[in-house]
Parts: sequence; C-alpha cells; structure tokens
Amino acid sequence: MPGYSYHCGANISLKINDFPVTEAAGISYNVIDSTIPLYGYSSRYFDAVAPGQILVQGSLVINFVHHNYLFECIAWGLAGVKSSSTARSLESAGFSSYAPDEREEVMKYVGTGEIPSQDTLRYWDDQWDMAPTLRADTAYEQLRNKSPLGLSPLNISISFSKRYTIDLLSVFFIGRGATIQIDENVILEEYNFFARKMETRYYNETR
Amino acid sequence: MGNNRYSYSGADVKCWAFFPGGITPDSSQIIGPGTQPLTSKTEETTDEYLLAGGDSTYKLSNEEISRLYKPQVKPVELDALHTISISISEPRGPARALGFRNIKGFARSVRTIAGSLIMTVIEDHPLRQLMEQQGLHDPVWSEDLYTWGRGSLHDPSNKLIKIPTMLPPFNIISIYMSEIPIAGSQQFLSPVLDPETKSEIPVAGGGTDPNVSAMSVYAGWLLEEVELIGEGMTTSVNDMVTEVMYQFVAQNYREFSANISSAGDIDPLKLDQILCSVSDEETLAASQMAECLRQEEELIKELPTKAQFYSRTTRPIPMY
Repeated sequence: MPGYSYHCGANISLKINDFPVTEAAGISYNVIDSTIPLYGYSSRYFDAVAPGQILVQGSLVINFVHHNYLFECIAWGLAGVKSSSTARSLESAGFSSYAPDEREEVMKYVGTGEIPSQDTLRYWDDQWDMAPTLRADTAYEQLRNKSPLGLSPLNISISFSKRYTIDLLSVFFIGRGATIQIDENVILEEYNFFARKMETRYYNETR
Repeated sequence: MGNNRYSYSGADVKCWAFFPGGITPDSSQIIGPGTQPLTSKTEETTDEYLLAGGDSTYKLSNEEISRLYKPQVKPVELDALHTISISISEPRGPARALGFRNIKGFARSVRTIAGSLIMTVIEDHPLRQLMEQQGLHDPVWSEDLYTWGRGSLHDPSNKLIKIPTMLPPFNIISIYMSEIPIAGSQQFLSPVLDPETKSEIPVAGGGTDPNVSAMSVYAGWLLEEVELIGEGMTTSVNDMVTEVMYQFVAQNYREFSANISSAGDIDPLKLDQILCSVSDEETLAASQMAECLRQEEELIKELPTKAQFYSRTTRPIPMY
C-alpha cells in the first residue's frame, strides 16, 4: 500500500513481557556501543578496533493513572497474562498481581529457588526464575512499595503497525520520576531503564 | 414524486444527552486505587483488543459491560439546542527525505474529535436537567469541588447547578427524520402500514400509490464521552434571543448513518443497538440481558416512536 510505510506513535503498541501497556505515552532508547579504535605508535589511522561494551539505556513514559499501574502490568506479564481483560477477570476471581497480605508469604521464597505452592502465588513462579539474583531485602523493599524496579529483568517489545518489532531484552528499571504541576496536561511518569541488548524481528516471528 | 431524495434540515433533528453507565453512588470506585478509570468502549475494544492481538479470548466481564454501556439514567432531550457542529481532525505527518521535492508518504497520526453546541436560553439554563440528573457525584476531585463553580444566582446553595465544564462525560445521540417520504429505490417500495390501523399510510402529496410509500428510515449519529471544555453566553440588543455556546471534545463518534442494513432492510430498532450496543452479547447472563433489554426499552420510549414518525411524514406540523 503506497504511502503508508511510515509510522508514528499512533501505530505503535508496547508490551512488557507480552502484557500490553496501554497507558504508555512514549519510549526512548539508545544503544551505546563503546567499540574503540586502536592506534599503533606511529599510525595516523587506526589499525584495529577493540570490541567494547554494549549497553541499552532509555526511558519509558506512561500516563499516570494510578500509583501501581506499571507494577501491575509487569506483574501480570510475569504471570503469563497477555491482556488487561484477562487480568481483570483474574482479579474478579480473587487473584491479584500482588495482594498486600501475600507479601510476607511471597518473600519467604525469594532467593531460595523454591516455587510457592499456594494458588494465590502461582503467578509469581516465573519471576523467581527470572530474578534469582535479587537480594531478599532489596526485593522485599521494592515489592513492598510495588515498585517496578523490583521486577527485573524484563523484556519490552515495541511493535510498529504489527509488522515489525524492536525488542529490548533484559530490561532493568533503575529509576522513576514525574513532574506534577497545575495545568491541564496529563501527568506522566518516566521510568529510566537499561537493557542488555536490542533485537529486531518481524511481528509474527518468535524471539 | 417517485424519485425523491432528500437531506435533513435542522428542523428534522432531535438530540438527547445521557450519561453512560459510569455514574454510580460511589464515584470514587471509578478512579479509585487499583482500578481502571472510567473508560470508554473505544478504549476497551480497540486498544486492548488490538494490542492483545485481536485474540478471541478477549471478553469484557459482565460487570464491565453493565458499567460501561448501560445508560443508568434517562436521556435528556436537548430541546434548546439549535446548532451543533462536529469536527474530526486526524492530520497526516508528511514524510520527507533529502533529494525529494515531493513528500514520500504520510504517517497516520492521532485523532481529535471536537465541536460546539449552541443553545438558546429558554427561561432557564439549557443544561439544567442534565446537571440535576448527574447529582453531586463527580468522577474527579479537587479541593474546591463543592465550593467554587457551584450554585446559581437564584439559589447559591443549590450545589446541583454548576459550571457545565464540571459535568462528567456524557453521550449525545441525534436522530434525523425527513418530512419527505422517499421512494424510487427498490428497498423502500414495500407499502408501509400504520402500526395501529394496519392500513397503508398515505404518502405526502396524496394518494396511496403502492409503488411510492413513505419511508421508515431513521438516521443518526452518536457522540460518546462528550466533555465540555468551554462555555460562552451572548446577550445583545441586536439579538432576539440569548444564546449559550459550548465547546466540547469527545472520545468517540459513531458516524451518521441511516438504519438500513446491508441487505437493504429497514430496522427502526437499530436504535437500541446504538444506545446499548454490546459487542459480546453472548457473555451476558440471561438475566442481565433481560435487564439490558428492559433499560433499552425504557430508553427508546423517550425517543420518537415509529407512529410519531409516520405522523410527521403526513402532517404539516410535526408532532414534536
């Protein structure tokens, strides 16, 4: 179809661990590769290139709808839920992404490698597999505050018109911030992150 | 006479406003912690559905359907409305590249639905009914919610009267009916019978030509989640009446269309689908469906009946 090979923000869908983040307002990232040229003693031109280190850095901006929105998106994504409606159905059935009275119970399993057996905790299995190195006290603090910073690593996929996808893999959220002021603009929250790598694929291609 | 085609004048239109099922006794539930804010059907069915890959497992819960789609209150006729304009803007972002004089293509961008209402002041505030119907339950909070912007000159303590920009989102439905019967198209040739007398309805201009029968077509559109963002009043010695103008934005617009199916059938009850459409009707329990239909019936009673419409096509003075 001629003329529609260009994309704008309205053609993008963003998912974290396959859970749609429908309140995402923007995302930016930079892939930083510190590959450096090597010069011999008398060389004017570089003679070799040393492979450096790669780091993806960026930020995710979401509309502030409630204080735990991103946390819950991530939690449901980690639980294998793939749509908000399914998450709401689970909630109405008595499950929660992270109910307050489950916190202490959940934390018993952090770092032990064991899988919680209670039904209400079963959706957390993946998380423990994916974040085995989190220290218990750190994780507890993050989870107690329902901070997305405690639910890493994650995968963020940015799809363009359901044709192409950019994946940011092993994302760690490292900060969050917001500007709140008296005007009509939607209050936004910005989450800073770094990631291990960026990959691209066709939308239907499995990673 | 047999090939009448027509458009609609402002005299052929009536508009109603009604709150979608978002106003509950405890409105804090709508935007409370851990819950989704009041969302529109648009968001539910496009964003979520499409982002979910359009998967067939996407279902709204019965509670959501009830909350989102069922009008909780009766529609208020906007009888003082004399002009309404709707504009939809969806600009295209031109893609340019070095070395090309012309644009290379467009990026499809974001949409804005906006417009204005112009209402005549007839004794009282033209939106008073709507304000009173809403009550004191506001979906948003501010420190001065119940102090500033409320009360009228006549009754400062009446907190139901407020600056209309404080109204929560409401829907506006508009129904068009021409005074001129139409014919000439095969799909309209079936004679129309009076629902009460069962006799054929005479067409305007006299006679009951079996090949020319009165139409029974409604047309209309629906604006969803209308938010008033501005009000202005004009009173002048140069004007015969006082007018109030409102600017609004809306979340969704269901396009103007006649109630004719793709098969050419005329179905006046399409209106109920417009007012209370449920994309996943099969997910409704039977009792809830019955309740839904009951609400629809009540709603439709407020709108022109088929008989009224027929009357209008045959009388010089409209029934309403």
